[in-house]
Amino acid sequence: MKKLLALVLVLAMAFALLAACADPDTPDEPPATDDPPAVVDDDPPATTNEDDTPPVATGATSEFVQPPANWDEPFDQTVLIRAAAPHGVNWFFEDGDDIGNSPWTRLWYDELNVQVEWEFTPVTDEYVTRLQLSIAAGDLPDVFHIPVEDPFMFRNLVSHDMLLDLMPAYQNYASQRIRDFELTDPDTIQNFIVDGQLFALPRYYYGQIDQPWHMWVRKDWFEAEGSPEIRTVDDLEDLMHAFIDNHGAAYGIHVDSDLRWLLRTAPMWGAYIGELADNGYFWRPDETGRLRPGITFPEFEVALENWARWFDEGLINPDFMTIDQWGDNGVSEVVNARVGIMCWWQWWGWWGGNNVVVMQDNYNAYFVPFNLPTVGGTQPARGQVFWANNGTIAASADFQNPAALMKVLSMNDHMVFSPDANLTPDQLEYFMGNGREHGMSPAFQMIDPQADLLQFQHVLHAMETGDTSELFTTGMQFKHRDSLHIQEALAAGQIPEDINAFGAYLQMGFDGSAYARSQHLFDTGRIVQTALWGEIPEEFLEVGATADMLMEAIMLIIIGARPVSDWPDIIEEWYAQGGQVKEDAVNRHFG
Amino acid sequence: MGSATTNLPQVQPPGNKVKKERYFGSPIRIIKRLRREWPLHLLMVPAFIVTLIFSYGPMYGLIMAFQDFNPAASFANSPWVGLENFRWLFSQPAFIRTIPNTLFISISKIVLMTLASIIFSLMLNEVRVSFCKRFFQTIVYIPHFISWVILAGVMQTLLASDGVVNQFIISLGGDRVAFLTDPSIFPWTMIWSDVWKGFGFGTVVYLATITSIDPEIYESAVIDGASKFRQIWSITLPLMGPIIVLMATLAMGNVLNAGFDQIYNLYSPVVYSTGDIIDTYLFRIGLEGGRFAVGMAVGLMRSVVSMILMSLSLFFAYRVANYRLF
Repeated sequence: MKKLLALVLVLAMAFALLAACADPDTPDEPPATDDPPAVVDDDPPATTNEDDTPPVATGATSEFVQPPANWDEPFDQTVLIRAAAPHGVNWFFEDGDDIGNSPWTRLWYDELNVQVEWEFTPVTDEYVTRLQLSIAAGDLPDVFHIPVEDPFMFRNLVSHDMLLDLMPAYQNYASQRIRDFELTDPDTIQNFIVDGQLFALPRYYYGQIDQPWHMWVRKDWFEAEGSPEIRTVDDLEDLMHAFIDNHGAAYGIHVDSDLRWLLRTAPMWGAYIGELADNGYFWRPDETGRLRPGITFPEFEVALENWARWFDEGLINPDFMTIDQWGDNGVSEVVNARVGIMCWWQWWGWWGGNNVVVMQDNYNAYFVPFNLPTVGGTQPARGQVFWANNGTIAASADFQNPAALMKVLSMNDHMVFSPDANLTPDQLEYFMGNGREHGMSPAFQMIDPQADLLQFQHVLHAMETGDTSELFTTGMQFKHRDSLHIQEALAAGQIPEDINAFGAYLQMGFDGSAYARSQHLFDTGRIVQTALWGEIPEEFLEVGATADMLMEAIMLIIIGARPVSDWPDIIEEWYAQGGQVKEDAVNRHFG
Repeated sequence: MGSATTNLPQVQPPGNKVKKERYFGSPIRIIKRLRREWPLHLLMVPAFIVTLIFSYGPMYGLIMAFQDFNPAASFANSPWVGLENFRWLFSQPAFIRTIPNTLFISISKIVLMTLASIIFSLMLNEVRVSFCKRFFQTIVYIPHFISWVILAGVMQTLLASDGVVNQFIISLGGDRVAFLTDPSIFPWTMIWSDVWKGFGFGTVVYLATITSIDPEIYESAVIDGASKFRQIWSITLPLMGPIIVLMATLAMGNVLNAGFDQIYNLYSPVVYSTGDIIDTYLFRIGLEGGRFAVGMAVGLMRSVVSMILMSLSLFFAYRVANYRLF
């Protein structure tokens, strides 16, 4: 009897354990695809948050549903899209909302009868790994974002027939507006067309105007020094010393552990290297016409010499190798007044601007952009321009309703970039306020390649003239509103109530803004473009990491542990470790 | 403290030969025991199944080390490349240098950690005020529980060029030390900081051993006129011998693990030449670089070497300290 009892107990335990390991979401019955469609009410579009009720899952189907012809017409039956996209750590949602139930998911449901269910939305850093696991398991979401971090994923998926040809849906159900992106940027979409089939939609980019980097200088210190001209490298160095001597800065220029901020100053010496990444480098022809990376040009050695000198003179933080550009210590150096100059993107105002004035309790302590100086000073340094595409949007080969994807993409573009959106201020806040536009996710947003240029032109015009009649897109209205907010606060000598508004103001809200500086470079032809104008050649994958050894060598040279004269040997080693393969590939594909 | 004591192997007095049991009995005895104890073995079945599924099942993925692995093609369809990933790996100078770096940092940590733990436990054993003894023991034990992710931030602040430590050195007339950015100093920063973090745990183990020594031995020594130092040298250390050997040999099985958490959070390219270890290289190449197959090759190689070292360690632990895992 005891043995029998023991046996029963053991079997019960084993059963309980196996039951606990089973997938709780596994349905007992097949999906109710024959259920009647969810009711879509005929009320006006739910463009305010009056009704926060999440969409009802019952009745949504992933089977094929005949789409209505126009992009803004809803499906008769609720179409279900299982999606995946990275989730930014700083995305903001109202209480109770999340990426699965946001103003945007409600909009898609209410307006198009499309329901999005998120298969996975890990934070950006983990997304590629999670997606690769999904690929390896052969269980792709219906719609997903392919990030730029893995330029080879798209080709892998195409070569294994895992992607859907989106061309018919793109041609028949996408709005004319998003199809016209091709006119602005005709090269990009060609990278994703294979044998006439469109296997992914490019997300495009905000346009070339956002690519040149600028020298950001702390305004109150700059004005205290008499607002000197920054035309030459010497001018810049004088300012660095003045900030250290007169304003308590710990060092001259902010440098991070990836060297990204420092390497972007290379154009001051005529060197163009972009970012030191295995999938990057900046390629341009030498005197023979052969395409070579910027690190192999002699101008780069001049830049190295000057950076080593800066380090030796104490203008660079000796602990720069421990400064994480996205970490707390990256921004803390700025907000704690330890540095007053840094080379950065045009969106500095969203990164440091929204903290520095508060931490310094000084409305004038924000940084303003200047074009990079040069040694001679007759012209500003050239802006570097890259082939840019902010990842792609792809669909699994099994996905039945690509028209739904096109409709959602078209709707999102309409809301943000179209002149016809006509949102009220409340709706503007509801969809875009506090960064809520990120709720669209990269899986469902294509970016108008002219967006930032148009925004800049119209916002600046409105700021200078007060005429707001030509602010015809949501983005323009939003950035004008923020710019005005900052302008009024600064005029009153007060710290702005919404410090995030510094982002738009410093990007495009006044004549010395980052985009105004960039526009000057484009207008005067002070732009240099990489020859690698498209996706990374496949051969890059054959060789190992080549950026690591360069990064190490550059750091050792900067801190004086290796002489600059070693650089030719380092380049030789780089070629031996795979640089030659890369250079040959770039010349073969783009030469 | 009590649990640490009870988990320790019994220390045998020197010269007392221990009769070693056979690992397995005869097949007939095994069958007899199984008949008698089958309900107990049956109870083990769920755990056995879980272990099979979650620990042995994933080992199928080791095949990746011999493939040109492509996630889109999965294991089944990725082309077989034999030892190509290993050949590529050993052609990379950056990988080759991680081997001596790993061994140096790891072995130094083991040796210094052992020494620090022994010395501190001996010192702590001489403290007579119970409160002070417990206080110091707790103080040195606490860092063991703090994650390196947190400690790395603390260390970066303390050891910065203008951090507290450097300010102290400068105030004494010394020169600034680049603890985290000088390739010749970085490994020692890793070693000493890890010893600082971990020696408290070793101290607990050694202190438990010391307290289990028969006090009569010390009383006899006192009667014979032995000084404190002589008691430590001639009684405490010899009786601690087996447990020291045991701890050291068990640590040897972990010799290729030089502390990923610590080094990854504190290193930078400028110290790759001396601070890049197998695990950090594996992380950069395998995960960040997307070369999963090469990453798996490194991981497999590391696991095999660790398994051999662990087996040797267990063998020596059994021979020297009569410690047996199975």
